[in-house]
Formats: sequence, structure tokens, C-alpha cells
Amino acid sequence: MFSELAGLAIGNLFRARARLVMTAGGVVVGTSAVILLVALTFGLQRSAEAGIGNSTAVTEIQVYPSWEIPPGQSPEDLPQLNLETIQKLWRIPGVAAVIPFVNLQVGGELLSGKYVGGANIVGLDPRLLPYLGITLEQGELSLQPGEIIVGPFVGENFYDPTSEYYEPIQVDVFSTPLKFHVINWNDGTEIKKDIKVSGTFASGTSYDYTIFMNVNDVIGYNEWASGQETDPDTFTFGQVIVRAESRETTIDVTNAIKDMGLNAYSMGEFLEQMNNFFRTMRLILGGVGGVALLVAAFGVANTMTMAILERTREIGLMKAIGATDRDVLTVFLLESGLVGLAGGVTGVILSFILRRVINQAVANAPTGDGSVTNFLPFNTSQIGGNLIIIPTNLWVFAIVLATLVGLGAGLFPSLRAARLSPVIALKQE
Amino acid sequence: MAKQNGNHNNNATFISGYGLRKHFKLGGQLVRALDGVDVEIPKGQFLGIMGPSGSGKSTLLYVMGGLDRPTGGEVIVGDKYLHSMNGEELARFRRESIGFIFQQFHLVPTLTALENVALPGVFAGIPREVREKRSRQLLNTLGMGERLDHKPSQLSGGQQQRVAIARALFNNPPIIMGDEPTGALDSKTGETVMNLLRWLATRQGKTVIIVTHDAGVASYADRLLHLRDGRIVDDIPAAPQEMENLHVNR
Ligand SMILES: Nc1ncnc2c1ncn2[C@@H]1O[C@H](COP(=O)(O)OP(=O)(O)OP(=O)(O)O)[C@@H](O)[C@H]1O
Ligand SMILES: [Mg+2]
Repeated sequence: MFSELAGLAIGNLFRARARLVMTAGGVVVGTSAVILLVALTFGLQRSAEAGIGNSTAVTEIQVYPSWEIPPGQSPEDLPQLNLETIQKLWRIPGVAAVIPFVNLQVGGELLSGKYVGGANIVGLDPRLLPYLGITLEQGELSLQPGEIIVGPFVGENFYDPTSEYYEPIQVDVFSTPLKFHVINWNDGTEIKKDIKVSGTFASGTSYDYTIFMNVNDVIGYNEWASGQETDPDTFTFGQVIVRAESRETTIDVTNAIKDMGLNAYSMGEFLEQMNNFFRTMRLILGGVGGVALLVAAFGVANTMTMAILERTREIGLMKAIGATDRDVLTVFLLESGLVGLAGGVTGVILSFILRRVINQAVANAPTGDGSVTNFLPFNTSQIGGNLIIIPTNLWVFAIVLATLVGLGAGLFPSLRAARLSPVIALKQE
Repeated sequence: MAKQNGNHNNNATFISGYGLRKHFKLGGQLVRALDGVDVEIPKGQFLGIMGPSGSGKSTLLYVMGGLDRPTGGEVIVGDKYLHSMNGEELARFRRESIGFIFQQFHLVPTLTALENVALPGVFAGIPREVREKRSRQLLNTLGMGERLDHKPSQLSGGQQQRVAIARALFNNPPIIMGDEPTGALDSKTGETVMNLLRWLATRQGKTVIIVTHDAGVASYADRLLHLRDGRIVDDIPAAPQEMENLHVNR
């Protein structure tokens, strides 16, 4: 039954081909507008994410003790970054690793001949190195006692303490012999020890100025300086990094840490805010495209109204030979729905063609000083010719939307046709 | 009273209307298109409805055919009470029981003769191949076998009306109703069409009801109803047809 009516509707569509093309043309434009504008937000979002850095930055959560004391609690109640807290952090679902840092509590610097290099010195359990998210540039990921792994900027910032002016001097930390110099400022005693750089890593993490040292070495220096053995009950870490298993779990883990009464900050959280921004942008631009589709809807409604006026006698005839109101409604709704569907499908094809054209233009655009791409709100090299990104569910959604627009626009004219009195319709001149 | 008139075979009543009224309000004025019509029509009868313009002929036809609803009164066809049917049931009734023919033919201009004839099958949910087979068969019977793929604009008036008759016969309804089916035809082609309708009544036992202005056309009928101002003013049996002379033009 339905297929019989559909056959009739399709036949009717091809009666006025020029009108069909023009009416569907409006839907084509509207559909393409929706797709391309939304696809643009996907492209911009990807470019913004590319600017944030590698994926390890996204799953990294920095944990600090909280400074705010909840009402009715004393500062002692606040969770500290002690061993107990570390154990609790490990138990949060979605955590890949908890990486506690032990800060060197005395002054420490690197000596390369007469040059001195300073940096942030952090003690780390070697077993946690793989979770740090650093990419080795030279050497190996090893932190035996007496070994260090240094950030990319450490070697570039040595200086000559005897010189009048401060001037950064580059030292090849990997091949020149280094000494580690520790000074206890309480009594002026100092230690100088040979030290070996086992590896250097690439820039782009938050450890560009950091020297990683075996945690036992750092504890040893701290005990030497304080003259006391470390008490596990009162010991606190300077900083804790939590590595989430995936980007998706990062937010949940961050919130769980905050619920423990600690401060937590993650790039994932920032990403979430950025995603929210792009979601809003998507809605707004999608709405702009939607306006074009709305205009097309009026075109469809107009065409259907005209078609029904023209075919009034035919509607009367259809009823005289046994069509029910619902049959008439079905035929006309199918016609308008098919206009929407045809426009939607063509709009999708057009969008894919335009995507190719635009992305190629962006990829081929000259970059560098003074080129026009510098004025664009995104980095064309980061996009890599992917300014327009059309995910599958976007174009599927667009086709469904265009079909619904066709159906919606045809609803009232079709209802009117269905309700026509056959006798009056047949009398129509 | 109508029962005794005009029926030689004295078959049981097939179509009946009692106290039929149809009123229209036109600019505050009440138009009584039907003003108390009682009529009983036996199966197989060829009934002609005559009367001056505006007397309510078309209105009576459409009310009896389930295309329009009376303002008052009852229409009973076979065992069906049309006045108590909803729109869906009326559509089904029209589909199964009535074949309409119109003065203006009302063929769909973009469809071929074959497709026009098959159109009722679309709403009856008959598959395409079956539709086409039956449509072809009907057109062949009516002498239109060579015009299957012609559009209405490529056919003469008489040919178009024969296509329309084939369409009316598509669902094999027991009743054929024509509103001035020869009104747009010259007298020669009009005769062809009337012979065809006469043949349907005589040979196929169809009940045929024809509205006409033309006394010549009316001569094909078994019985003539005369309307004036929405009332039956005359109900007369016509002379029996010389069936031997009947000749269907192919
Ligand atoms: N939809 C309508 N609205 C108002 N008045 C109507 C309507 N349909 C019919 N009438 C009126 O009802 C009366 C009967 O109309 P009907 O069409 O039945 O006449 P008819 O006998 O078929 O005339 P004709 O021979 O000219 O076709 C007329 O006065 C007509 O004006
Ligand atoms: Mg009339």
C-alpha cells in the first residue's frame, strides 16, 4: 500500500521538474550551510587542540594541597600530600599512575667546569618514569643513584658566576663531565659529587627546566642537610602528578581528587572548557545555517501549496475513486519529504565537494611572515588542510534534518489537501 | 411509492434514499439542493436523472454515491448505511462499490491511459503488475487496446471518456454513476458511450445511474427521475430497450 502511494508521489514529483529543482535547491543551500558551518567548528576545535600539545599533557593532573580550610575544620584536617594520600590517589578509578615528587630541600646546582647551571630538582621513583609523559631525545630512561634526566632547557641556561653580566651559556650536558653541588645554608657545609646525565627529553612538557633525580638521592641530601632521618608518618611530597588512563577519565579523576579536599588542575579540564566553547559555537553557527534551511522550508511550503491548488480536481478525483484522507495526506507528505530528502542528499554531496576545495585552498595557502594566513584566527600549518571536518553523524543528521524540514513544510498544505471535500474539489475549474 | 414505478424485473431494492435533504448556506440564504427525496433503485437498473439546471441532480448522485453527505435522511446501499459511516468507511465504500464517470472525464493529464485506469488500484493496494494487467484487459474490452500508452491530451473526448469508464470499472464495482457523461461529447461519440453503459447494465448486471440533460441519452434508461427544486416531480419507466439493436462500438 505504502509503496503504491510512494510510486504515485515520485511520479508527481517529476511532473514539474523545474519547480522541483528550484525548491530542492533551497534545501541544498540550507543543508550545505548547516554542514559547512558546523564542520568549520570541528576543524577549528581540532586546530585548537593541536595547539595544546601532545596527548600526554591532556591526561596529566597536577595535585596540590588545598589552601582553603572548610568551615568548622582546622588546618590539620586538610589532606596533606603524604603516603596515605598517595595510596588513596592510586585507588581512584581511571588512574594510570600516581607520581609523587620529592623536592630537594637544600640548594643544588650543576657544575660544568667553571659554569654553573640551576634548575628545579625533583626526586622521583625510577619505576614511575614511563608515566611522566616525556619523550627521550638522547640517552635512556634510567635513574640509578647518581644519574639524572634533564629537561631540554637545563643545558641552555648555564652561566659564568665570575662574569660581570649574566649571559646564558649552552653546555652539552650529555657529553661534558658534570658535578652536582649541594649547599647546606644552615651551616655552610657543601657536597660535590660526580653526576651522570642518563637522558634528555624533548620540550613541550611542563618539565622543560626540571632535573629528575633518583628519589633516594634526594632523600639522602635532605637527611644530610637536616641531620635527621625521614619519618614516614610526617613526610610530605612537594608535588604529586596523577596520570589518568585516558582523556575521557581525566575529568572524573580530577573531580574525585577535588572531592578528597585537594587542589587538582588538569589540561583536560581546560580542554573541557574549550569543548564547551566550541559546542556553543557549533550551536550558533548551526543555527545560522538553520535559518537558511528555514527559508528553504518556506519554499517547500509554497511549492506544495501551489501544487495542491493546481491539482485540486485531481485530489477530488482521487477521493472519488476511493482514496482516503490519509492516502491523500500520505501522497503529499511523501512528495514534500522527498523534496527535503533529495535536497539533503544533494546538499551533502555539495558539502563534500566544497570541503575538498576549501581544505585544499587552506593547505596550499602560503605561510610565514606577511602572508595572508597570519590574519586567520588559527594556525594553518597546525590544521594541515583540515579546516572543514565533516564527521559521519553530521552529514547523516543533515539529511535527516532536511527530510524533516520537507515533511514539516509540507504538513499544513498536505493536511489541507487531505481535508478537501471531493465534491467541491471536483467542481473546481 | 417509488417501488412500483419503473422496475420491470421487480428485483429487490439495492440503493435507497429516504427523506434526503441537502442544504447549503450561501451568503445567509438557505439553498435546498435536495428537499426531501425518497428513491429506491433495484440492482441492474439503468436509471436516468433529469431536470433543469440547479435542480439537485448532481447533488443526489453524489449523496447516493457516498461522495457527499446529506444534511438529513438516510442512504442505504445493499446492507450499508452510508449516513452513519465515517470518512474512511465512505472512501472504502466508494472504492469497492461505485465507479464514477464525469462530464470532464477527470483523467490525470500526466498519466497514460493504462495508468489512469489503474489509478483506483493504487488506493486499493493492488500490486503494480496486477494493476497493469487488469487495466490493459479493461482497455482492450472497451476498444482502447491501441491507446494504452497515450496521455489524455493525445486522445479524443470519446476515447477519454472510455478510459474514464474503464477506470470506473477497475475495482469491479456493482454501481456505475455518471454525471452528464456525454455532456462534453458530440452526439455520435455520446451514443458510443451510452451503448457501453447500457451494455454494462444489461450484460454485466451493473446498476447504472446517469445524470443527463439530453432526452436522447435518457432514452437508454430503464427509468427516468425528474427533479425540480430538490424534489422528485416525475418517476417514469422508459420503454424497454431493443437489446438486439444494441451494438457496442469498439
Ligand atoms: N457547494 C455548494 N455550495 C452552495 N450551493 C451549492 C453547492 N453545491 C450545489 N449547490 C447548489 O445546490 C443546487 C443544486 O446543485 P446541483 O449541482 O445538484 O444541480 P444540478 O441539478 O446538478 O445542476 P446542473 O444541471 O447545472 O449541473 C444549486 O442551486 C446549487 O447552486
Ligand atoms: Mg450537475
